[in-house]
Amino acid sequence: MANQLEQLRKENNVLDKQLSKENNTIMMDMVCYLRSSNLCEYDIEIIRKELTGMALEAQLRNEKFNDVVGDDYKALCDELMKNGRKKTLYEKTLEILYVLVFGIGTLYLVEILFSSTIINIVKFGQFALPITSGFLVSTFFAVVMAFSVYNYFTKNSFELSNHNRKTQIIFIIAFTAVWTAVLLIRVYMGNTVLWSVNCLYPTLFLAIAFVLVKSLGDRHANNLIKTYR
Amino acid sequence: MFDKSQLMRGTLEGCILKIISLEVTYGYEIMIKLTGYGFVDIREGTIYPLLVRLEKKDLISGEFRPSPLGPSRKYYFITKGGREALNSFEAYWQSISVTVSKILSLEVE
Repeated sequence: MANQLEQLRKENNVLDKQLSKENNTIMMDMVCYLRSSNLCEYDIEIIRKELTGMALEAQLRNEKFNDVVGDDYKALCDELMKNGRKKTLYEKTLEILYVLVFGIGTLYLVEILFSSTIINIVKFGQFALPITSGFLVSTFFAVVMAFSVYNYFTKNSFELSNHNRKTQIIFIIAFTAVWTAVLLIRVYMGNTVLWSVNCLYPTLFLAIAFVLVKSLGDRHANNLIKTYR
Repeated sequence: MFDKSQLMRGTLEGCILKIISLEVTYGYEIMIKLTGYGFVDIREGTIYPLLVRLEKKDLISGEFRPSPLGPSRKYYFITKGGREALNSFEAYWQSISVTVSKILSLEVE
C-alpha cells in the first residue's frame, strides 16, 4: 500500500519549485523548524501545503510573504506547534526505530564494504564478520551524533539560515571534530574482536526490521489520514 | 500596556466560527472579511493557527478544493460541535459585553 504521507510530501516538493527564491528560503526554514517539534508528520505536510499555497497566492497578487503571515516566522511556527496535533507514543517509537534501523543498517553496510569482509566474501566465499569493540562504539557514537546534529539544525533553522560567518565556522569545526572522533574510535579500538558472526544473519535481521518498521509506519500514516477526512 | 493577545484570541475564534457558519470559506477570505468588519492588523498568519486549533478541536473541518488562483485551497466548514460552540460563544459574549460596557461606563463620583 502506497504511503499517502509520501504522496503528499512529493506534491509539496512540486509546489515548492513554483516559489520565488526568497519565499523558498523562508518556507525551508519554517518546515525545518516545524520538523523539530512534536507535531504529527502528516500535519506538518498539511501545514506545509497550506503555507506554500499562501505564499504562491501572495506571489500572484504581487505581495510579499511577510505581508500575508507577518515578519516573525518563528512565532507563527510556535503558534502552529502549540495548536496542532501532537505525535502519539506509538508514532514516536516508530520514528525512532526507523532512524535506528536505517542508521545502523547503513553503518553496517559500510563496515562490510570497507573492511576485509567484502574481500573474504568475493574471493573465498567466507561470510564471517568480526564484530569489534571499535565498530560497536563508533556506530553508537555516530547514531547519537546524527540525532544530535539533526535536532540542533532543525531547532535552530532560522538562526542558522542567516549564514553568518561565525555559525559556518562553528559548524565546520563541529562536523570535523565529530567525524574525526568517530574515525579515531574506530581505528584505536578496532582491533579487539568481541565475536564473529555470519554477516548474512545481521543483514537479514536489519532488512526484515526495516521492512517491518516501514510497513507499520505506512499503515499507521494511512490510518491516521483516514481519521482526518 | 494592556496585552490584547489573549482577548483577541478568544474573540477571533468566535468571529471565525461565525463567518464559517455562514458559508464555506478559506483563510484569505476570512481575513478579508475580518478586516472589512474592522479588525485591524489581522493577517492570514494571525488566523491560520486559530484555524488549525479549531480544526483540532473538531469545531471546523477542512477540505482542499481547486482554486482559480494558484494551488488548491483549504476550505473550511463548521461542524455540529462548532455550531454548539458558536451558540455558547454568542450567549456568553452578549452577557459579558453588557457587563463590561456597564463597568467601563462608570465614572468617578
